[in-house]
Amino acid sequence: MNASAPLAAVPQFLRTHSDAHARLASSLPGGIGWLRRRTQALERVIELGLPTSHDEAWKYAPVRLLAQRAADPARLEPGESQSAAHKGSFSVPEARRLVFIDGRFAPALSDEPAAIDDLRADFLADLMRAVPDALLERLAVHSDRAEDRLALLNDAFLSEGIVIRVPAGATPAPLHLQFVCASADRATHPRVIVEVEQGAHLQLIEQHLGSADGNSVDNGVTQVELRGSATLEHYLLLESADRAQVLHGTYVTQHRNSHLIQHRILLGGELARASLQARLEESGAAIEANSLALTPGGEYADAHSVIEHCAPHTRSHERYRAAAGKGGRCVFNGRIVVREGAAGSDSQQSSRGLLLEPGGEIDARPQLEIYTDDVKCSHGATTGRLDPDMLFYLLSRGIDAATARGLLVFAFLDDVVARMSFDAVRRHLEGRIAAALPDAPVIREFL
Amino acid sequence: MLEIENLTVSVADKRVLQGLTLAVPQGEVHALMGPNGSGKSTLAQVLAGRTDYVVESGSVRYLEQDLLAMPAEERARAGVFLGFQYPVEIPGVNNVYLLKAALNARRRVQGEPEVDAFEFLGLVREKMKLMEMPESFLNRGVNEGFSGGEKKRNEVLQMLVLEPTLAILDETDSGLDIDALKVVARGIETLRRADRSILLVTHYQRLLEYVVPDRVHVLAGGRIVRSGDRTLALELEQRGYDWARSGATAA
Repeated sequence: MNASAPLAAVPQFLRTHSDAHARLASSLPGGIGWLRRRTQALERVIELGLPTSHDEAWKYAPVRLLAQRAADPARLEPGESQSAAHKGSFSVPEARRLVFIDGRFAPALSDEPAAIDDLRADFLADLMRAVPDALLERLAVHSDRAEDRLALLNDAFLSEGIVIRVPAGATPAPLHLQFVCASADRATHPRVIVEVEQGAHLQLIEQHLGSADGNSVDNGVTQVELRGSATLEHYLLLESADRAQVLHGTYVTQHRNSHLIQHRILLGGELARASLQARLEESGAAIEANSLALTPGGEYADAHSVIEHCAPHTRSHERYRAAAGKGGRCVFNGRIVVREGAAGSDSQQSSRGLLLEPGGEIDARPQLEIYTDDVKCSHGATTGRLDPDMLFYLLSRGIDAATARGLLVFAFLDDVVARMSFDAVRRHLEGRIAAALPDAPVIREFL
Repeated sequence: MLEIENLTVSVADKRVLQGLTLAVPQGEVHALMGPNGSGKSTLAQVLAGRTDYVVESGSVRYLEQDLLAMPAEERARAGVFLGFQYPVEIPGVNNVYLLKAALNARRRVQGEPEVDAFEFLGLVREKMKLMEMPESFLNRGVNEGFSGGEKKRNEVLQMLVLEPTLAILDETDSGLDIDALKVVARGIETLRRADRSILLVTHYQRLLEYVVPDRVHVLAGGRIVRSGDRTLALELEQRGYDWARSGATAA
């Protein structure tokens, strides 16, 4: 352990992780290279500490709630808690579903992973056992930014998750990954690695479900590499319940003419946080990032993004919609960087917040950094109450006030959901949104 | 049907209506004309139940009820319909769902069962045909992406489906070309019935060539300055609103 960090000053969350690491490290898959990497990563996190409210990107987050949490990254024995269906679970008829309970693959709840056409999916642990130092060169997050510390911690416990490769030109069936925190006091660090080769297309639904029993932490990392003209439609559904915390980082590298659409949904829980870091490295690369956050009462939802335009004629379009009720808080931090040499780039960002009642809070912060001429950038951010003209229009048609309000909130949020390709995903989310609003039964009549 | 007495209304500390008195008996079509800023739209909005306005004095009775005491949604269910001058776009709220919910809200008050979905679609299609609206309007958001003329047609469509007892149409004719005006006028005419009243708020007399009113009132400076039969509209067109205003004391 690094001598510069006296253990007493280390937050509970990291102490629990440190203890677990001592217990688990030698039994985790991978060779000596991985053992070293994990140990280094953990030491580095302990040295740097967890993000605090002094870190700009975590300014509003209830970081203490994370720091104090004694969630244990212990691995489950096979068979334990792996067969029951979980609340919030749903299936997409056209997609193959792979379910992970508390970090471990649950075959009883999943489709057959081996038989996926046009796509290679390997469990991380299998890959690391077969090739002891596989993936080492690909994984590390090298920076010390507060943003990356949780990814470092994910490195320290890396063993859960999946590596997906879509070969050039292929369009495999969609894939639905479901990560469920089923047990209380459990920490999981799932990793998804996606490589979409030249001209290939993938639709990936990644769902993180927090434990209803509470006190769990799901700290996921997804790495995406899109080769020339590849496309990925990525659904990131963070659905935590009550006292569950769900943290997630997406790291994206895009090559020439590749296209990423990410739909991020942050629902419920005392801490839900999604961070997107995308580099548009070659010309013609484009990203569309749609985010939706809903905190009807007492929850916290934090959506961050850093999109870097590094090459000419790259495009980004970001759309953020959030609604906060009493005691709920939504934070959006959208940073766009247009690097020197990224001439002809186009960046649009729109952020709209809706305060459902007094005592809700929405902090939206667009940031534009432009280091080149000849770019087209626009951004707009508004936060307010429901439009009185819309409300009156509905009332004047005989709709009662509660229903009118519910409908308008729903319609506002549905702006993100309606853009999704899968009926089953839309229906699932519309149900979740309607249920979170005060007038659920009447809104349902309209669906 | 509608009896407005001595109505004084202000908005943001400015008096817009100053002791307005107006009665629309059952079965009649009345036109309310007046220059910009005379208070026409304010009156329409107050009658529909908008709460941004302060009613300082006066009364409004509708079918022997105190209209001003009823919230907007109750007025609608009791058969009052406002056709908006500027219908708002509500993306994400489906046009036809809203119409169905509105119709059911009205039927519930009348003690009728909810409309059958199949029957309802048939009814809407029939009215859409009358208003020369394409089927695609059914599945769009309320007024979403509609042109000015399409929004006005949609207002009249809603009115035809809801069959109000008192229809207040706030400049439904403005911004329409002549073909659209005829379609809208035809829609309004089909609603004309002995047990129904219509108040047409308009700036020009153009619409009144197609929907001939029983009475015409001129609103200026927050009160009715002249009333007469349909020839008043023609005279007004020739002589202008200054003439009507000058007669304020005589009226």
